[in-house]
Amino acid sequence: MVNVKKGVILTSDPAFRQLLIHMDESRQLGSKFIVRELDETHLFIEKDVIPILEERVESIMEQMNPESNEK
Amino acid sequence: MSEGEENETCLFLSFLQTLEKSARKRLFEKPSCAFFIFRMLPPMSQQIIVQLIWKGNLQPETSENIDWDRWIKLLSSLDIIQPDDESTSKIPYSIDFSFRRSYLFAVMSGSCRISGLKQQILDEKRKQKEVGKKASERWDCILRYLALPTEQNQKSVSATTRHLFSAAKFTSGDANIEITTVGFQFLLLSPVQQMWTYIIEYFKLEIANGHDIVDLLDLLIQIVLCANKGYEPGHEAFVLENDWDERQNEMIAHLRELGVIFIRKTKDGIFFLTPLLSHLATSELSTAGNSIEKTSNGSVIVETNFRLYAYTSSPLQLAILSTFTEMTYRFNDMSVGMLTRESVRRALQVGITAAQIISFLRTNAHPQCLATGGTLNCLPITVADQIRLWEDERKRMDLKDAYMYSTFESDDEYFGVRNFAQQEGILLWANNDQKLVIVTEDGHERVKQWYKANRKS
Repeated sequence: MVNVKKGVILTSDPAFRQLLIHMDESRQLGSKFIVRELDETHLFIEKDVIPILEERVESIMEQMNPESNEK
Repeated sequence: MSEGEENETCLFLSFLQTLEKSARKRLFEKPSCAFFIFRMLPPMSQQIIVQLIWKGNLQPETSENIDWDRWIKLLSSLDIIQPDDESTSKIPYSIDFSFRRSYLFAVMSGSCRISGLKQQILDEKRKQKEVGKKASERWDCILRYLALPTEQNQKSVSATTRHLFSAAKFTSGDANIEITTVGFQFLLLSPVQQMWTYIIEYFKLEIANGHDIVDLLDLLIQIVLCANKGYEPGHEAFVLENDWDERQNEMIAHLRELGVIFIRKTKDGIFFLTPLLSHLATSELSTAGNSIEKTSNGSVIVETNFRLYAYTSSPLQLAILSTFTEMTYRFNDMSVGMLTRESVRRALQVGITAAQIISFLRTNAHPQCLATGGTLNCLPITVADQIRLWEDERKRMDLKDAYMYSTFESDDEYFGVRNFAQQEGILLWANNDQKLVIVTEDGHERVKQWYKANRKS
């Protein structure tokens, strides 16, 4: 029987994908959210984590921004 | 590609697509409307119409390698052409009968004559020399109200415009009116886009109130058609007809407020065309290098070190600039600011796009920048690139709602679903080794139907 799963397909660059996998494994969002690792640039993830995920990604990217580090 | 295709249709035609079929058909019956629609179409679609009218069918030369589908799709979505089973042509389409008749009638008589408005000859004294200035003042008033909806600015726009802006969600709040993100995006558009957006929002409001807009559109088009090349704003006057109904008179009042027509006093019974009317006579797509937009006095100089100087005292301009610039000094007639990552990101976060910022800076470039850098390089390339990079770094991931199908019973089933999804254009991702298919959210229903149909057989 074919299995149907609703979710979100995420497209990104490989480096960023690795970051997401790390976030998934270390359960930084409270739980695992990656349903399936598709290929180098695609992931299939749960839909309900998206708001938290986006917020978290934003803050990680901010930490890595040289300008705000200098201040 | 989807973005490119969207850009192919101008605001007016997209709006036309949303109308009911019967309303479109009624427009086709009026020569002025058919002619105007033709004028707003992209060149390739015009070509198709001309061929269908004069040759009776579409017979593309075999040597030509043109993708007709896109243009045909546009025309059939407007109901100008429809599939014709009897045609033997490779592209079997026929043109709408009333559109064809109206178009032919219009080309034979010329755009001014079909407009049907009565012109009034004026003596030298009554000619309005300053309509251009007055028109831009009117338009500025509206934009200023939107940028800074203070009480003082509120008085300068009519209640209907205020209502229109709140209905279009450009402003929010009842007592304390504030501009919304959508409103800010509107401010960053080019004048032609703004004008059309305003008009279309007005029509949408009329439809929402249950009014029929065919006669309104007709009147608008008649007026716009008078704005031919070489018309002299303020020199020609047209009669305000007595038999226009209430709705039509209200639209005239709107147009007057927008500044596209000028009425000295309503009891004069005449109106003048203003230079702003030419904004409505063109589609926003064909105006990339338009002269009207360039002559508007830009005041912004951006240096390669991201410093920005604005030689203006207009609160409107400064309000717009401050959405994406960190303003540092403010003098009487000039202000200085910096384009920083923070300030641009702030704008991006509320939904303004990099392209909008860049095009705003270009359209408002100081004449001296235009003289040295031309229309493109008046904003330093490095700055434009950086603004785009700041936008891109926020887009590290692309998310799409989807359905994933796994654990197929057989290879046939897997390939069946995959090929079906591919044909329908709903396939997002598939992998033969993992036997996984991912389709768009909307596509799920269609795959379900495919399953139903295939189980029966």
